[in-house]
Amino acid sequence: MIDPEKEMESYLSRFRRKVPPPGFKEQLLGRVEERRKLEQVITPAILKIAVACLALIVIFLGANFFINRTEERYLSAFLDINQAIESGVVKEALPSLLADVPELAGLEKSLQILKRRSQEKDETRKQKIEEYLNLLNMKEEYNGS
Amino acid sequence: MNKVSKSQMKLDELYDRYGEKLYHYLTIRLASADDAEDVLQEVFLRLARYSIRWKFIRNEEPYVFRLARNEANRFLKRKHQNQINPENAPALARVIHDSLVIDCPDRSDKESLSLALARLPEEQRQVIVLKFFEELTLKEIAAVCGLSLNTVASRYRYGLSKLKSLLEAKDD
Repeated sequence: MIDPEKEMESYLSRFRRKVPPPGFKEQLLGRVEERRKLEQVITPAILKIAVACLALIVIFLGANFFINRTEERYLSAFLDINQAIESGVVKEALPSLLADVPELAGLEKSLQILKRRSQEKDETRKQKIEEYLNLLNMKEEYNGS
Repeated sequence: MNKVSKSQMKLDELYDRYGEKLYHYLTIRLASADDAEDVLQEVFLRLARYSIRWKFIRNEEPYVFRLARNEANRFLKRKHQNQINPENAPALARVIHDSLVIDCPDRSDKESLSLALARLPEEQRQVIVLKFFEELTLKEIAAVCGLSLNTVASRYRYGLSKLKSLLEAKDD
């Protein structure tokens, strides 16, 4: 007895799909290409303009930042005492200032003492850490790990 | 070689591989060669838009057919017609008849098969068309329709037996 499924399969295998009319492919792909071109929001020309605009904006912002920074430095030198100290004006003028105002010498001395003490403290802390690390090494050697 | 010509080449290649199969599948799915042409155009437009995804696709054929199936469903939804109306079976039979070629010159065979195919339920017809005329495997059909392999296999079996009974009824 013939398997009905196989029978139907062999019956259907006699049929094939019809080939589309000639030129169908070219027509279809041509229309697809046309629609794609219409769909493209960013055409190459627009892309070039956008890139040029972006470059101009970057140049403008860079120049603006540079000009602002220089201007700010000049203005601060006029208005801000910290800026004046940083720029070295105070350091240059300090010996003549100390000669004119002797009271400032005491103040400078105490500042120097404070600075020295803080340096000493830092060094002591460093030494303590080194000692601790040495002890740790000794312990590891003793344990053999 | 610029990007446009590369994508054009890819579309050309895709058409050579699947274009005719898709057109035939869509003609039967939509019961109209003109609608199939429109939908196929949409499918290729989508393929062109998704060109960047191509390298990530493992099974090209099911992917392309699934795209076509979804596009056909969208088209039918726009026309407020999710399924082919059973009353339109003779019109669908004519479309199927025009889309098939038979090896032996027996015209009555082609007519009866077209009519029987048109009378099959949509889901069974789809499986049989994809299997026999578009040469997809059952596994690929399952991927196209988003169904399990068992469901596709049972639709295929039921479809064949229904087709057989419809053809026999015609002979009687």
